[in-house]
Amino acid sequence: MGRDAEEAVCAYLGKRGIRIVERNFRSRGGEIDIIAREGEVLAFVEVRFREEDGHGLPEESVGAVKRRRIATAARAYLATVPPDSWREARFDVAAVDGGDCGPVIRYYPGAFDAKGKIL
Amino acid sequence: MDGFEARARARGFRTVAGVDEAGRGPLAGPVVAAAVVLPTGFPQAEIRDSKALSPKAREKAFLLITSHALAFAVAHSSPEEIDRINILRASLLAMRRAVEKLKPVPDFLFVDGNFPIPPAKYGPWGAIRQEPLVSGDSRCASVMAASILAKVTRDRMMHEYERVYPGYGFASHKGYPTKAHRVALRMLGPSPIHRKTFRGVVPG
Repeated sequence: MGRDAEEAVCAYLGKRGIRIVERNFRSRGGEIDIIAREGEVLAFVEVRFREEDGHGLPEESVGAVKRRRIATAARAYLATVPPDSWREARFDVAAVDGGDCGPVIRYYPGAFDAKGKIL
Repeated sequence: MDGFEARARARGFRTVAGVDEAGRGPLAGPVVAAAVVLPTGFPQAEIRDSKALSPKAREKAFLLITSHALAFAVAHSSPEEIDRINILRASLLAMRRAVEKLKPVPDFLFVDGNFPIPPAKYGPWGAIRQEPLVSGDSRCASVMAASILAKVTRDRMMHEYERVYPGYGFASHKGYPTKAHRVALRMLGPSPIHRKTFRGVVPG
């Protein structure tokens, strides 16, 4: 299910001409579901999908701790690429809501900042 | 259950409102919010969770709430706004509008969900305290009441939209992503009240 959700988001980004550069990037501090690139802009994408008996929308479940962990992992990732290969980085959240027929995707570019603050 | 409003009153707040919204998940239509101030001793057992009620029971609860409430207000945020500022912000905006329409002005809000309502620069916001309540719509009577007003109002709006934009089935699925809705969307393309930023509305 989580895997399907990530596939759907990758397809969504692909159709928009956004290149996927990494999936499930792990570092000591945390994990990033998808790292994507659009020109000189890097996007760290957290994918959330509808869980049974979840309260509220899936995209609301990215808590403060999770956001900071993603930011930590992002810093670890940025240390591995040439510093002049990117100009901007942002944190996106993609929500995959399974209706009873096919997924609905709600995409939030720049959902939070590197300190985990919701924008 | 109960007790949230009583506790707020015990802390010295006089006008305690519950706030909730309906319609964040659908592919079409507005997101509707309501704010309700209930009197003490409101028969809350009769309204329970709006999602657990049948449409008919919800209509009954709607009447009970609107006839007993000390104050209530309903407001919405449009599909255009949802596309512009995203659905999470639009639902908070709708809640803000509902609160601003309340008379008398509340001094305490229980808001369903994780987030408090971003206060406006002007108006009564300086004097309003807020507490977000996760699953407030099943724990707190006035939030539950707000949830019912929002849901019933939204359903009524979607019934109206059925007449304005026939063929999509808005009266039955209310804009939610059902099979019939998808099929109609594929045949007819998006209507003016579809949320264009939700993938599943615009192909691709």
